[in-house]
Parts: sequence; C-alpha cells; structure tokens
Amino acid sequence: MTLGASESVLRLDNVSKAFQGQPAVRGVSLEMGRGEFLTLLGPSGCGKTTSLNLVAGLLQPDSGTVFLRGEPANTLPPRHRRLGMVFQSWALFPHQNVFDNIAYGLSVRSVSSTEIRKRVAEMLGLVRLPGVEGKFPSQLSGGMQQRVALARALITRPDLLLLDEPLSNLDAALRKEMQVELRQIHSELNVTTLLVTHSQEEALVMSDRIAVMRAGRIECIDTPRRVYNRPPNRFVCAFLGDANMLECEIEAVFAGEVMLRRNGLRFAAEAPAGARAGQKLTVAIRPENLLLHRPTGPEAETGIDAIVRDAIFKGSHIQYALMIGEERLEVLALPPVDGEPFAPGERARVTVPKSRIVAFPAEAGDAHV
Amino acid sequence: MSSPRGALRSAEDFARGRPMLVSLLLLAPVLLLLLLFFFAPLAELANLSTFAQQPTRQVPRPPHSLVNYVKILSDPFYLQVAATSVLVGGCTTIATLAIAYPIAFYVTRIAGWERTLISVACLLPIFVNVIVGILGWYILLLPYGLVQQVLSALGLVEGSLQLLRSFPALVVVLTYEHMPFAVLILVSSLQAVPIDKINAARLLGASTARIVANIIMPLTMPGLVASAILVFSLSASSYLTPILIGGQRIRVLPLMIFSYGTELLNWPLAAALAIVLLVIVVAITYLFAAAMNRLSKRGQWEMV
Repeated sequence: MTLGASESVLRLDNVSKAFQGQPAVRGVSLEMGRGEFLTLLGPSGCGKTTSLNLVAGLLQPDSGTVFLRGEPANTLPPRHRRLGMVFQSWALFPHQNVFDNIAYGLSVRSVSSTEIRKRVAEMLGLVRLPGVEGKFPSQLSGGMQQRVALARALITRPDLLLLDEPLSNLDAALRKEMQVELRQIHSELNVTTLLVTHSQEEALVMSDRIAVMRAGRIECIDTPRRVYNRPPNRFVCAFLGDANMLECEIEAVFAGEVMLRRNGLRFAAEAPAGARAGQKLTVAIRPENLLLHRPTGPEAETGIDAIVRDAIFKGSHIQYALMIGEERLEVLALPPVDGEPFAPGERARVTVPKSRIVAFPAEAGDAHV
Repeated sequence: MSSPRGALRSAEDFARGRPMLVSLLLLAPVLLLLLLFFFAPLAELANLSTFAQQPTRQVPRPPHSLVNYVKILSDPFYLQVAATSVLVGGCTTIATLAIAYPIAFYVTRIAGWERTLISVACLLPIFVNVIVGILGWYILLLPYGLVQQVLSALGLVEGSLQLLRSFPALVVVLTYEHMPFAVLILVSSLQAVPIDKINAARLLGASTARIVANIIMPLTMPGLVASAILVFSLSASSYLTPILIGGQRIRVLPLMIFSYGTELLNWPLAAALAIVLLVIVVAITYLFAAAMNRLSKRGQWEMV
C-alpha cells in the first residue's frame, strides 16, 4: 500500500536500530494513513517498543528513514514531531495536579489560559473524568491515571497518537473496559493511532490493521481478521490464538485443492501456492474451526471418526481434547442449546471446513516454535 | 517490586510488635552518645556565653548576663562579620549546586567506563587531605602562580594579581571542597526521576530549559535542599579554608571564634559568637527548606 503525501501520516522506510551490536529493529517498513489504528503486536523483545521510540524520536535509527506527514523526520526533535504518547508507566507528573498535567502540552506553547481551561474541560469530558482537576496523580486509581495520561496526550491535537502498552498496568476487567473506550475515542476523534502491545486480544479488539513482529522484523501486516484466519506462517498463527499444528504430506494436488495425509488421517484443503505431491506442509486448524457431531443422525456419513478424551467446561464454551487414532486435537465448541455436550470416552465425528485450514511450507526451525 | 515492600512491612511489624521499653533500650546507646557529647557541651557553651566576663581562678562562676550578645548585636563590626559568613556560605552553595547539578545529571545519563571515570574524578577530592587540597589551591593562586601565568600568557592580565585573600578565591576553594558531597546526593536524587516523565514532557513540546524547571527540579527538590543545607552549613562554619586562603582579610565568624577563644582568651564572647553562628545557620537552613518545600508542594503529592 502506498499513500499520497497528504494521506500518509507515518511511513517507516527500511528502518533498523541496534543496541551495542544487538539488532533490535531490522529493516522495518510500514505506512499509516490518516485516521488508521495500527497495532504493533509481538512477544517481549521483538522490537515493537523500539520501533515506537524511533517514531517518537526518542531513538535515532541506525539506517532507514522515518517519514512524518510525508516529510523525512529522522533529525526532527521529539518536541517538534506533533505526536501524543501514552507511556506504559503513564509518566504523569506526580507534583502537578490533574489540570496541570493535562494542560502541560498547551502551557509550554503559551496558549491563553481561557483556551487552556476550555480544552482541559473538553478532554476531561472525553475521557469521562470530570471534577478531578485538583487531584494529584497519586490520589487517583490506575484506571483514572490512565485516562489522565490519554487526555494529556490528546490535548495538543496530535497528528499521531502513540500508545506504548497503555493497558498493561490495569487489572483484567478494567483493561477490557478501556479497550472498548479507546476504540470509541479513536472513532470519535479519528486520530491516527499506533499501538504497541503483546496482547493479541487488545490487538484484535482495537486495530484496523495489525503488524505482527518477531525478532525485529514485521512478519505480516493485515486486518485482524486476515491475520487471524490466514496467517502467513506458523509463528503468527501461534501468536494470535491457539491452533492445532499438524505436519502433513501432500498426497495429491488437483484443481486448486490438495489431499493431505498424516499417519492415518486424510483430509482436503485449499492448495497453497506452488504445492506439489510429496511436499511436506504444516497445517494449522484453529480449535473453534473443527466441527463436532454425533456419529448418529443426518451428518453421520461425513467427517472423521474420533474419541473424546477430555471435555473441559469453560462457561461460554467447552474445550474438548479429541483423539483421532494417535493424533490429539483441541476443539472449541459452544455448549449445545439443547441436548448434552460430549462426554469423555464418547465417539464423535469431526469435520474440517476446507476454507478454515491454513497451510505453511514446513520450515526448518518451526518444530520448536 | 514486592520484595522491598515486603521488607518494609516486616520492619514496621517489627517496630510495632516491640514494647516501648525495648525500643528505648535499642535507642539508648545513640541517645546517650548524643546527650554526653552533643547536648551537654552545647548547654555548657550556652551557659558560658552568658558569663559577663572570662572565668578566672578567683571568680570561676562570674555573674550571668546578656552583655556578650548585646555587644555582638549592637556592634556593626560583628554584624559585618556575620553577614560575610552568610555571604560566603550562600555564594559557595549557589556555585556548588550550579556546577554539581549538571554533572550529576550527566552522570545519571551515561554508563560504563565514562560513568566510572567521572564518578571517581568527582569523589577524588574527598580522599585528599583537606589541608593538602587547600595548599594546592594556595600554590595555584599565589601571585605569579600558575593561574596568573596562564592568564597573562593569554594576554588577559598584566602585573601582579591579588587572587589569594580575595572573596572569590575563598568561594572557589570552598566550592571545590564541598562539590563531591553535593554530586553524591544529587546523583541519587536525579537517578530517581523516571526517564519516561522527561520523555513525556519532550513529546508534549517542552524545551530542555522548561523540562529542567518544570519537571526535573521539582522532582529532585529533596536532594537539592539536602545538598544545599549540607554545603551551606559546612562552608559557613568552615575555619581551615578561610584562615589559609582568606587569611585575616575576609573576616568570618569561625575566625573570630577561634581568635577570641585562643588568642584573646575571652571565652564567653567566643561562646556567644558560636551560638550566634549556630542560630544563623539553623535559621537560614530551616527557612530555606520550608520555602523550597512550599514551592514544590512537598507532602501534598507522592511519586507515581
């Protein structure tokens, strides 16, 4: 995707950064359009925070170029980048009250005090925190501090909002609430937002696009749905949710489909590019994409024979462990509205929708991922 | 995170669980030491300062009066000396902090051999005997000494230069003497300022000067106050440096006290001068700390 200069808010062009010879970011390129919500997702140490700091200008790239608003910005000091940033620690100024914290970005620009008062009130309304102007950060709960940090970052009306794991210090319930709220604020202000997180849930809930990073590189960059359903490799697939990973061999290729075989198991899947018979593949099937039904009834003829080994009730769904011969598969199913769920030891039949099977070429190091 | 808190809690439990008597027993050695070697001599000094005349064999306990204090407070000469002492302490404090603060800030932002080098360079003066250090400066500042040679080589001065016995020279040497203490205190204080807060201010558009004034200084105020108090009280009551560098030209209270106590043998007046010096130093440090705490709203907020 290439955007016109007026549309592009941020572009990274082959940006690299190393610390004491250890590469942290290697040749990262990406582009963000106005109003977009992009998430850098990856395990700790994958270079996502370093990438964010390169955008913020808190670090200088060793090579490559950071473009802001279409202009090269490598040497632009942070204070002239017109960015808002929410830090993982929120980085509130503890000696200033909420009003002064939020107003800081305006007071250093010598904006009139009436204008400052108006905009602080506006921001407190936006993050739903009216009436706390006079409190110090230490008198606020974590969730409130987080909102103050967001208000402080947004009051300057930045071209780009950077969020560095802003929810990781909150408890689970509050995190869920803030995810939805951040989404709302984003759509309300239409501010271009770059989020860094290691939480796949956050990424899926909030983003327009997700860039999955590993070892300083972007593995893939796409919409949450496509990244989740059609991951380009085993790492991305495993990082975003659970999957049954099966090493298979292609038995036959015909008309855009392949017949795959593993031990006694045979099933059809969409053919990956360049598939040929005898090739080894890794196949990923998400647990919720395996469909279970009883061996009696109208669908009795379809599917593969299996035995239920274990059934774990998890409230909203049931997690089954199935055995197909020697093969163990994880299946996630909604509890049946009428009738009983499968019990351990029961026989079942499994169907695998062709479109839900993702195949990757078997990679050398993949077995240990 | 959890282990220091856990340690703190157990220390509190420890204190709470002990009866009063045990706490008193634990404090007893230090209380006894303070009583014997600090408060008792201080009381004796205060007592001595109210004697109307020098105790003699014939009159070991002269009558009490405030004549010494009246003499000090009504004589412009003594007031001038007291003012000079305060001025020496104040100038030294300002000069020390102005130099130590940037050094300390720089030390917290570097690592490895560079940090070791600067830290050692800052601490080295502590390991040199005070008199040796002062005499080193003495030689540098002598007429036609090294400082003057450099200045005249650069064509900045001509003829003999009277650096020794001057007020600036005294402040320079006192600053050198107290720099390590200030740097040590300020480094630990600046170290506690999270880099995130500085970066947040940068991204919000603040210039470096504004960040120092709005963020770093308020957050390091306890360290600034502590080092200011230390440097002020040490330099205002310093005796060795004024006698060696200032000679009798710059009259400060410690010189007066020494001279009345040992040369003129007027112990009551020397004691009164010592009490005056003590009161001045305590009052100024207290007012300064209170003003700074009010300025930084200390106690109203906590670090987050």
